[in-house]
Amino acid sequence: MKEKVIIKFDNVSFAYKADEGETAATGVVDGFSLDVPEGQFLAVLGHNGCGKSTIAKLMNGILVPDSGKVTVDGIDTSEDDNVIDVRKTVGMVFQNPDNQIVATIVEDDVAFGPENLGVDPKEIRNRVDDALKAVGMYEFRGREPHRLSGGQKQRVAIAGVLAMNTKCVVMDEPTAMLDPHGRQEVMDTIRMLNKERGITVILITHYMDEAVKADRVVVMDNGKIVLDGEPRNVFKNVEKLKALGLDVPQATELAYRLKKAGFPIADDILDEEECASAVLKVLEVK
Amino acid sequence: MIKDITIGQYFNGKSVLHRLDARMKIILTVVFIVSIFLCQNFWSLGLMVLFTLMTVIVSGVPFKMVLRSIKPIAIIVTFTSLINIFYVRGGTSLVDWRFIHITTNGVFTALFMATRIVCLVVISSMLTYTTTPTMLTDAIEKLLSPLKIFKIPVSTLAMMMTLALRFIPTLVDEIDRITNAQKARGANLDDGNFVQRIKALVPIIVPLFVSSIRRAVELADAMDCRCYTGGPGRTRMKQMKFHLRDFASLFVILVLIAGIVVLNYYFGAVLVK
Ligand SMILES: Nc1ncnc2c1ncn2[C@@H]1O[C@H](COP(=O)(O)OP(=O)(O)O)[C@@H](O)[C@H]1O
Ligand SMILES: [Mg+2]
Repeated sequence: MKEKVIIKFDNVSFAYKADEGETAATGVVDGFSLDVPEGQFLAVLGHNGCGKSTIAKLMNGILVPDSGKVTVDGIDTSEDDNVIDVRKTVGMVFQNPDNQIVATIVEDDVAFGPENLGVDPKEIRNRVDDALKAVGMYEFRGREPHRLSGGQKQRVAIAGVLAMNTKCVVMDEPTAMLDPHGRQEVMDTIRMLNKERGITVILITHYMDEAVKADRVVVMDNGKIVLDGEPRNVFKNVEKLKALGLDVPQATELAYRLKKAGFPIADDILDEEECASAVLKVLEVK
Repeated sequence: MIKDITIGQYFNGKSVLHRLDARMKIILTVVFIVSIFLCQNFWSLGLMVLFTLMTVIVSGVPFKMVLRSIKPIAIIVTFTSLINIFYVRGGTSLVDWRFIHITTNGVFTALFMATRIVCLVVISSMLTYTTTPTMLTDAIEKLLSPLKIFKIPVSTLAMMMTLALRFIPTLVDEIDRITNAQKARGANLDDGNFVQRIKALVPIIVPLFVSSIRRAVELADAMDCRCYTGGPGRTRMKQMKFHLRDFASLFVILVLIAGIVVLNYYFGAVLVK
């Protein structure tokens, strides 16, 4: 049976309108097509300015395509009447936690989405408690957000999306402003959402070690998809990735260099462990 | 350090006053302020002062903190007292020397005024000491909600207040960061005369504006994503409910007003016409 597609881009083009007096806008997204099956953990990679955030905003109707069509759970995002339904399906977490927390108390912020949807107060309470427990922030429910660490704030933002019961979460570089510890916290939370709750996750990132954990990686360049597949198959293309101004995971890089130096080593290595055993194999052969 | 600033002057406590419904506290404060002006003699005024003191004691807010809230008005109080002493006439004359005429009415008016202002400020600060800004905003929203029939966007205004409160610490942080960045580039913010110092603020204010606008745009997107429309149909997780203690507090203040009226009646007005 074919998997159900939750987000579908069908030949989408989009350009930001140029201000008056400026030269005409150039297309940032051009003929973009992408199917995201329900339950997938998808990572989107690409250098700065290649249109990743634009794609993210197209996914829940913050932006609508100039041509082509984006559908979310079968709903067309470009129709004004659908906007609430679209956003009930696709939640969004942004890069800067400070600019997406709206309330002065953690639990009030998590309640913001369901409150807007007109959910019954008792039900909101349940959802908020559940969401805060899921991201491990329940003890902090009475705190002021500005006293939390970056990773904690970002987890609160994720709880805010969870409390809306969306099927899908789009995260636009949620770890870019965090320290390594905060990044780890947020990554663990994201994987929990995907594995335990079956939420479709679209993670935009420029950390390769985060992309490695995904089910599927899409690499973008100039508003187009240039590579698409399982992490193993995508990161094999070390030269192509480098040409696009991207790094590859360190372990992959090491294997690549060894191979270039003439060692017979596999080229689809993703993490340290695989790398170690591959190197061992090479040494044993010798 | 700067991250630790508290918004407003909330004093974390567990007293009855802290647990009173914020809407009731606002109403009580207004009623109290009105009743201050009912006092006509030192007996009823004394009752007011006693009540104010009791409130402070019950709240558990340290006296030092309460004094701090009076400090800014010390000058105004002194000034109005002096004017009253020298200009209000009537009653028996106390000093009558050259151009200085002091009468009993003058002294009494000065005392009355000073006591009233101090009571007023102390009681209002008790409101903000025992209520978090969030609770205050919610209460104001609820109390003003009848204005919706005049098409005044009460919920939107309350949302603006909440966002302002939410972003004060963030912006304070930002100012700190920009200031340090400009100092690192050699900006001199601490020396020079008044005009020079004002000019030195420009490189801080401009980046602050730019970044605030960027924040606002991002925030608007984030709020859109969470289905905020500003329209009707919004529910609230925290429902405000009046408890027995709220009605009891209302009863207490009514008794206080009754006391004032009785004392006024028995002892007459202090000021001689
Ligand atoms: N609000 C906007 N108005 C005009 N141009 C924009 C706007 N946002 C982004 N762009 C431009 O669109 C391109 C893609 O941006 P973006 O999607 O943010 O890329 P990424 O997230 O991959 O860094 C960039 O060239 C950027 O300058
Ligand atoms: Mg971006």
